[in-house]
Amino acid sequence: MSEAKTKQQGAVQTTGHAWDGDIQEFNNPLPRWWLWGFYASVVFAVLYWVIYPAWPVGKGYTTGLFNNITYTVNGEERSRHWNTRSLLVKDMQTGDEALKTKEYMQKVAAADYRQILADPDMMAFVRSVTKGLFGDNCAACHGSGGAGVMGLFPNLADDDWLWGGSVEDIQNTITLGHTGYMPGFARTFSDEQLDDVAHFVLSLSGHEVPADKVARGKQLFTGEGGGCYYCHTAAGTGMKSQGSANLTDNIWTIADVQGQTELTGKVDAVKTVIRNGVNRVMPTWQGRLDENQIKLLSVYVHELGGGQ
Amino acid sequence: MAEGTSPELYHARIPIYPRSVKGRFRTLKWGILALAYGVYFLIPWLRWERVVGIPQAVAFDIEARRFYLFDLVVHAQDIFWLAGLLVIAALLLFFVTGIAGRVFCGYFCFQTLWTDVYILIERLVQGERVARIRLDKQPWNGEKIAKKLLTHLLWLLVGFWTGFTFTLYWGNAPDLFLAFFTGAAPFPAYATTLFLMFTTYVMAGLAREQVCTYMCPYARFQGAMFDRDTLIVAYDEKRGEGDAGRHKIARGFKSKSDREVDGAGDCIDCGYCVQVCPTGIDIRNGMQYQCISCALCIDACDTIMDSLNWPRGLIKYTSDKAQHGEKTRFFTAKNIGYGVTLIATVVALIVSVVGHVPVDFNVSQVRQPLFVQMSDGRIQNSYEIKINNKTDRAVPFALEIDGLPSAELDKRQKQHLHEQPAQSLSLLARVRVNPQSLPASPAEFRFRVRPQDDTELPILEQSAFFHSAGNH
Amino acid sequence: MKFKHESIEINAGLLIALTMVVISIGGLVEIVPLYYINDTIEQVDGVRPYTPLELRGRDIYQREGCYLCHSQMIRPFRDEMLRYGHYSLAAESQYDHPFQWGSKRTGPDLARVGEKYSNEWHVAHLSDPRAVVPESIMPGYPWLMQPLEYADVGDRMRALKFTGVPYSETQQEYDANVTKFGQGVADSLNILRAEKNLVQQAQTGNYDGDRARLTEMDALVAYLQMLGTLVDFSKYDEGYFAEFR
Repeated sequence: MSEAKTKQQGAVQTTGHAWDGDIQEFNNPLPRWWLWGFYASVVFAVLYWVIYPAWPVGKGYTTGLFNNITYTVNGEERSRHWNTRSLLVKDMQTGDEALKTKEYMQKVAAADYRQILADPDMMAFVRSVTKGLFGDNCAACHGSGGAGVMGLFPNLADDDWLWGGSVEDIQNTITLGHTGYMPGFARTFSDEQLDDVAHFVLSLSGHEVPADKVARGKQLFTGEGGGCYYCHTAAGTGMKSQGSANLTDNIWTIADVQGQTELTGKVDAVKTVIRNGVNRVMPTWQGRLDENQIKLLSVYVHELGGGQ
Repeated sequence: MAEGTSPELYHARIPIYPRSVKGRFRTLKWGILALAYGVYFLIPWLRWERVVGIPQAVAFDIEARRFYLFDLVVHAQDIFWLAGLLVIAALLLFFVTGIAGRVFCGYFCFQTLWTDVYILIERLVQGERVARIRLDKQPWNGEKIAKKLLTHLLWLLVGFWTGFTFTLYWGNAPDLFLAFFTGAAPFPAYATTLFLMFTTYVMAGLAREQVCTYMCPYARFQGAMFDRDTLIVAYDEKRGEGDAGRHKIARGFKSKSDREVDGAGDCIDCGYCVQVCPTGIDIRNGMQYQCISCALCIDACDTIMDSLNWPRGLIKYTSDKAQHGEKTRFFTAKNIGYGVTLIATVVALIVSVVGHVPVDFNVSQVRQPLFVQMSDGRIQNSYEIKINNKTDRAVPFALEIDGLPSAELDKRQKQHLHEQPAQSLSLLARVRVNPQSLPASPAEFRFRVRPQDDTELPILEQSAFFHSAGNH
Repeated sequence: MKFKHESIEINAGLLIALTMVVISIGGLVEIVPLYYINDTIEQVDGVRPYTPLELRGRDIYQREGCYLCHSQMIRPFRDEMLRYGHYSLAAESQYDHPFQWGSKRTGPDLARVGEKYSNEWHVAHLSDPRAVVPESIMPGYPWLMQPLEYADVGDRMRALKFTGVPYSETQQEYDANVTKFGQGVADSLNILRAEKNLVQQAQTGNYDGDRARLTEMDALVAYLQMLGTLVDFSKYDEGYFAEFR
């Protein structure tokens, strides 16, 4: 002990190097526990090589021992040495989150729409889990909040529905898709006639327009000359089965009537649509999304703002 | 490095065999130790009546994200209280250190407390300092093996119970106890217990003072909080060394008056203060970074002085200023500053804890789309609303809006929201209004949550904005 | 002469050289084996080099610094799978020089952005991101509607061929491509027909919504629309790609 003590208190060891004449470098020994720590990390590395994939050998590598990951593929159990991809497969099948989601999914799958809509807990789940689904599959056209794009993609957050706004209708739309078609009337109508019909259409939603044009337009709209009433009905309220727009309310999805302040602008907007027609496609999601995903999306879209 | 010698690969620990001592400070330290151990080891077993949650006075329920402290339930959202507590702990440490030096290290640090117990075990099994040195030197025989084995086993046992007790805080102690010993406890319980058992054994049994001198950052930076007024454990050099230095009790050096003749100081160089030191230093060499201010050397020296009938205080708590004949001032600007900040933080934390409302209410407007035109011409805004009921009973709430006279609130769910105890609820609320009735966009209004039973819960309000097309 | 540590310490040049040797060992040990280990690149159908138009789009992607905010590597984690799709395979970037993996995601990962959104959406979004995504912080790239220069596309392909991408110039190389990728793809990899192929793909695809003009937008959208779409993952079972790790 006394020898050790003198060492501790004695002169400081240096490496013996000197720079600029007097700058020296201490050469203090390490504490023993530090050295042990170093040896321990070497031992750890060796154990790691044994347990995990580590060393390249020829065209392969050591795969590690005692550390297999087991998961199920097509009903048959498979086991691989440790690797992140197998970990992921396992996590997606039996991870904590996967099980929790599965449990909720089953609850939602077993419930009917009325039950889901009435249960705040299930609704909170649907809203959070479906946000990703909607973002991946629907938001590209309809926007991440479902507001759509004027003239191109309908707004899903309002209470006007071309193909019906009940959850069942929405499910039907997502599953099968729709083709929204209105022929162009460029050849059928003269420019004057287009003008008349446009005025009549605007009058349906309460716009103040000259009565003579409305009268002429109405004749074209409800008569065989235009035949508009086939799809839009004589009252202009539209038909769910045709996906034809309700022209009597304040919502415009193709002609940007609201974006125009002057009546002439509104008329032009409507005229353009009548002249060129409409051809829009909502793709079918059957096959791309499974039944339950479509169910979730139906509820989600219904809840975006105006479900009926 | 001496010429010709090979460099040392490591610096071996010089074994320290602290001798036991009795005295004021040792008694005080045993008292603190008993209190600390009592609190730590018994608290998890204290039961507490609760409607919801673990019926345990102090429990940390990670899964439910709730901490139970007697009648206080701390939720994850209240995590800033923890920050407040840590700030208070830090300030208290600075404050105490500024005045009285390393009080924490010497009396309260768990490294010191557990090391004390481990040394006690060592002494009970292997005997006093001299016996332990002899035991270490003697060859391995039955006696040595038995004593060493018993010591380490007892250390491991204390370590195990320490780790296990820590685990008990994170669950319901009786259940966990049963599950633990029937092999049914969750893996983290075993891992935590074994890990803490191992670290306790290594830190308090094997590493001991090296933790303070090599590992502990606090030991190294508290020097920054010291000044000349700070209390330190110090040797009275003037008295102890006299004019001619310390001298052992010998012929002609027995009484005070005899020693004065030769100029010898009061230190009789018995070495007791060095032998009791848990970090193996000699306090007579002055202030050293290894000194944890445990004051055992004071007890040792006082014992000797008492037996000689000389006045105590050859080693004592003093300050650098006092040593140089100046007056020690505790109320320095630094200490007052620490004190004021400390009190302010404590008050702030108490106000926050006492005044907290056990219901969270949060409104955020749906941004995409910000507003939607409805078919009847009205404008609709949607709001994501979260109500978190942190009380232990079901509370019916009513959600209302205020500030938009002609508006319609559509909650889709029922008018009254029955919130289950300790649960949160999130819902979408929609507000529809005729844009003509709005003065300007955005229009400000309020959501209000009103408890529907005769509770003392306050009515909560959250303001929201209303947007519409046209004038924005 | 006895070796002395001091001789390294006082010789800066030697110190630098030896330091680099030591540091490079770590990289060499980890990277070099990947070049000869069998399982590095997964056995998978469908991966092919870029067509001339896609290649130009990729060059524009790099010119505009898209990689500074967008990675092209989906990591094998649950959260990434749920958001972006199947994790990226080494095989999918085997013809990338340089690869666009990255780990800095200011914007979303683009490894599987192909066919997710419509061409029109991409054009609108690239010209003015906030027109379609109000909360976006991406800058607009309206100048992409300028005409695409493609006279040098053959040279660009030759440069990549030099690094090992199987673009063909000789009949022999072409035949090898036919065997490997099939007739249709082999045609698109033919350097001698590169310009013709490029114009034809832009005409057929009409990526920028304006058939009359061949713009940089055509090239970039063509590139974005094929990202991550080459492998048909429905052909492989859940555990298949784990077999290569």
